[in-house]
Amino acid sequence: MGSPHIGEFELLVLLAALRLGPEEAYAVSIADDIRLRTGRSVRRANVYTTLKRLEGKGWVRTELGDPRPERGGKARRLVRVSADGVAAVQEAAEGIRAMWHGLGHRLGDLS
Amino acid sequence: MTAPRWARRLLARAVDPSEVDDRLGDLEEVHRRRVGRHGAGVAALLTGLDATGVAAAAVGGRLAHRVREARPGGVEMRLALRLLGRTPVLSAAAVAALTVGIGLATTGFTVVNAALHPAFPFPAGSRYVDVAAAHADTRDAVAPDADLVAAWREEAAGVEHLGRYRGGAANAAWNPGEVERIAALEIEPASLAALGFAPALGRLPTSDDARAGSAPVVVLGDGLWRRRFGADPGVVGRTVEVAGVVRRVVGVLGPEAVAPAPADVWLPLPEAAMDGVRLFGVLTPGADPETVAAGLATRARGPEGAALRVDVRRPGAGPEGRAAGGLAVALLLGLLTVLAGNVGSLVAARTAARASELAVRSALGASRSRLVGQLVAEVGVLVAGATVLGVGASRWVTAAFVASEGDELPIWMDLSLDLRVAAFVALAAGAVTLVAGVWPALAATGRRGPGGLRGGAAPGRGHGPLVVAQVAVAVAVLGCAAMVHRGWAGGLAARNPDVPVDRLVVAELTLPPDTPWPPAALLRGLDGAAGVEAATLATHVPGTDARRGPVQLEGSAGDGPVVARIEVLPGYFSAVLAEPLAGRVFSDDDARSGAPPVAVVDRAFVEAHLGGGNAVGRRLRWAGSMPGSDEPGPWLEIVGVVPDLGVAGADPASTGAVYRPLDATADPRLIVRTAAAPRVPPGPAIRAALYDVDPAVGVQSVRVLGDALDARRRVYRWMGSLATGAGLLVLALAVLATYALLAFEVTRRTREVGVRVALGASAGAVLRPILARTAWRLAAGAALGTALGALLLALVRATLVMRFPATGTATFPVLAGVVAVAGVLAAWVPARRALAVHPMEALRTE
Repeated sequence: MGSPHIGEFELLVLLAALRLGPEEAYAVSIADDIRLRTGRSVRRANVYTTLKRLEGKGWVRTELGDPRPERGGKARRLVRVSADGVAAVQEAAEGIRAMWHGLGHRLGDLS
Repeated sequence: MTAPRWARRLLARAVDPSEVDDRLGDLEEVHRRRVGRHGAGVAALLTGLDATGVAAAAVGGRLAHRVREARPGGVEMRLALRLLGRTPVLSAAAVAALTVGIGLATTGFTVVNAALHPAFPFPAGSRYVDVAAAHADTRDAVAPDADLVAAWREEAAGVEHLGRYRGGAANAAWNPGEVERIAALEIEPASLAALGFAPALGRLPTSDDARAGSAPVVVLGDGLWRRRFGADPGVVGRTVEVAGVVRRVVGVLGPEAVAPAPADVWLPLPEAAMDGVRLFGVLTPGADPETVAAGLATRARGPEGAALRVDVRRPGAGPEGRAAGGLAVALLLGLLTVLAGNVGSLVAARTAARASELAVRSALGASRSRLVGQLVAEVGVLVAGATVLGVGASRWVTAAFVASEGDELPIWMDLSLDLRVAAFVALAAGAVTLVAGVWPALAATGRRGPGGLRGGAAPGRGHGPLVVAQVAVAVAVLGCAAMVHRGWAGGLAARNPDVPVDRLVVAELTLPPDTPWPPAALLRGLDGAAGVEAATLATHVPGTDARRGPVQLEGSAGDGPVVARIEVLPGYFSAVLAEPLAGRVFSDDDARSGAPPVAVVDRAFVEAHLGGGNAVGRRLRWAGSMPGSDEPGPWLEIVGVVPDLGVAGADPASTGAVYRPLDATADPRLIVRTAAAPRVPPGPAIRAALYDVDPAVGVQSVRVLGDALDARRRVYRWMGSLATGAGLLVLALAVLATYALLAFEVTRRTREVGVRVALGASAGAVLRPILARTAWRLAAGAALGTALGALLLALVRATLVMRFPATGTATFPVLAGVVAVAGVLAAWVPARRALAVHPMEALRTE
């Protein structure tokens, strides 16, 4: 059986988690990051659902951080992308790159 | 500053406990940001929406997970199928009962659905309405004359078209000696186009064709064109003789032309036509019939300026029909519920016997919902099987009915399986699963959990009344069904008229209003017809129910007995070969106006009301129910006595028959005696013979009397079998449920039996209390059932009007005995089994 298929939103969540790093990646910051960079509105409920799915695929692990006063004394559930998760992102990027090849004159270069 | 409390609570309830904390933290963090950006009020609103979204996603995710887990083919289904194999008798009984229930309910709903949602098979069909006008005060119908229709056409809102038509039957003379009675519809030419009917061949009639003095034309209906002309495309231009007039065929209509009524021929309605003319309309899209009716009522006045009451109605069942249909479906659903309840008690007994299994599964960690799901899946398999069989049977019966009686159905009745019927079946199946599956499952896995390991006794409670009710219903229903069956059989046996039924041909007759009376000249037309020995007229033919009413015998006070009242032509008795037993039959003189009023009675009348004595010379009269008068009729002298001709019907209150000479106001039936038994009813020959005398005479429903009586007998026999079959089903279910409940109860007491036997109790001493209690319940059930049955029977007697055999009352005790024997056996078999168990084994069973 091949590796599980990666969805577009899953890819965005993984990329945001990688960028934020294991100390700062949690549902709120991931949603903010995607919103900021892509300009599209992101529902936090979708981030939760996607994180759950990614956890099921073994692409991320979550753990509770320290309690914080600005959160009413509650902890963040921090997201760490696993090695499989990184591999899945790379594989997706390879796929896109391969499909992009030869289309630079029409779509611009993929940097 | 914190997120709204309700939002936090909602979230805390909806998400998984392990995730509540961090989700609440996220909510709190986001909320504080929102407060800074939008202010507290807007932030509270946004956070509330936010929390609702997160909660919905969490619940949805869990549900989806459960559905994936419980997919068909899962462990529940496999267990369910295995269990069905282990208890085949119980499963078969449950499926049979539910099949009958679902099949009947589906059939009933299909018919009611078709009646409530008429579907005319042409484009304007959904906007077709019948229109009728009446005096607002007297409610007398107002004929829709041309003036009224013209006034409405000018101003009516919501009506696209108003058309006048006149429907009826007419004679078509195809060849000399071949006359057929066909459906003829006279309609305004413009209406055909307004209904959207286009000619399949030729043209439609025009308004010129409807003018007085124009050459008569006819348009053929699709059915007649195929049946009579073999779908010949060259039929246009030929001539046919319809209603005594030779007409040129100008066109053929397609099969969609079925409104205002299906017809064999379409004729242009003469402009001046008034008698029997009716109105129909095509509403504009979206128009409401009631609003249109109110509008029409204000726009015109009736004769002499009277206010009008206008009725605009879509075809299909009226309010009364709707009520009756609803009641019928409710009754069938009631029956289905009873059957589902029965199956539920069977399932409950079976489930209770599996208390240990459920307890073990529960102890191993199966949740209550999982156990309930398992038990419901088992019943679901039964219900699914019964639904497939029931709906299949219903479709089969419906198709058979349409094939044999489809011509009798209104054209707008569509008995196919549509979305509404499918939704009904799905809902019914769901409800049955709920009644038969969910309740026993919840009971078996109650809040205290399955009691199997504790030897819990909960499932046994309440079974006493259940057994009593089962037995009572079985005795009552089956007893009633048997009595009804025997009543019909007895009634039919008593009604074999001693006349040559195979040589008597009967028909309904439509006489034109100007027929000279008595219509002897008309019958003489049959004299020369091949094979005809005699012909006569009567209001009722031998062997069929006649109109009944009270008569008063001279010398006795008050309203007398209720008897059959029949009017006949003088030659009637000799025509049906019934010789007078005493006195004489009618002569031609008796039928003349001004002749002394006389009557002939039958033997049953003499025996019931005159003590078998001499009847000739006695006098009687109709008791206060002459048409149009409260006065009693004139005294009639009895001039003769004839044999019973089976016209008194099955009404137990009615005995004997009184014959009078045929009145001109009566609606007679034609009776023809042939020399030999005809193989097919000689309708064409009879029609042709009468056509030569008067082309307007209508002869319908020509049948050999023997065949007609046989057909009636078949219907009665079929209805009787159906009633008995339903009763037997209830009885079988009741016996099975009794057995299951008692067997369960005895099995549950195996431990007690074992202990008592170990302590030295005799078999009799141990069994006595169990059997005694069973006997009490059976006795109570039988007594209740007999009382209930008597009540039901009185109801049936009142509604069906029938005689019952005098010995029939013995049915109830006999049935009660049968149920009692079955019940005692049901207790005895498991009790013996419990006794045979070794005491040590009995102690180990639970």
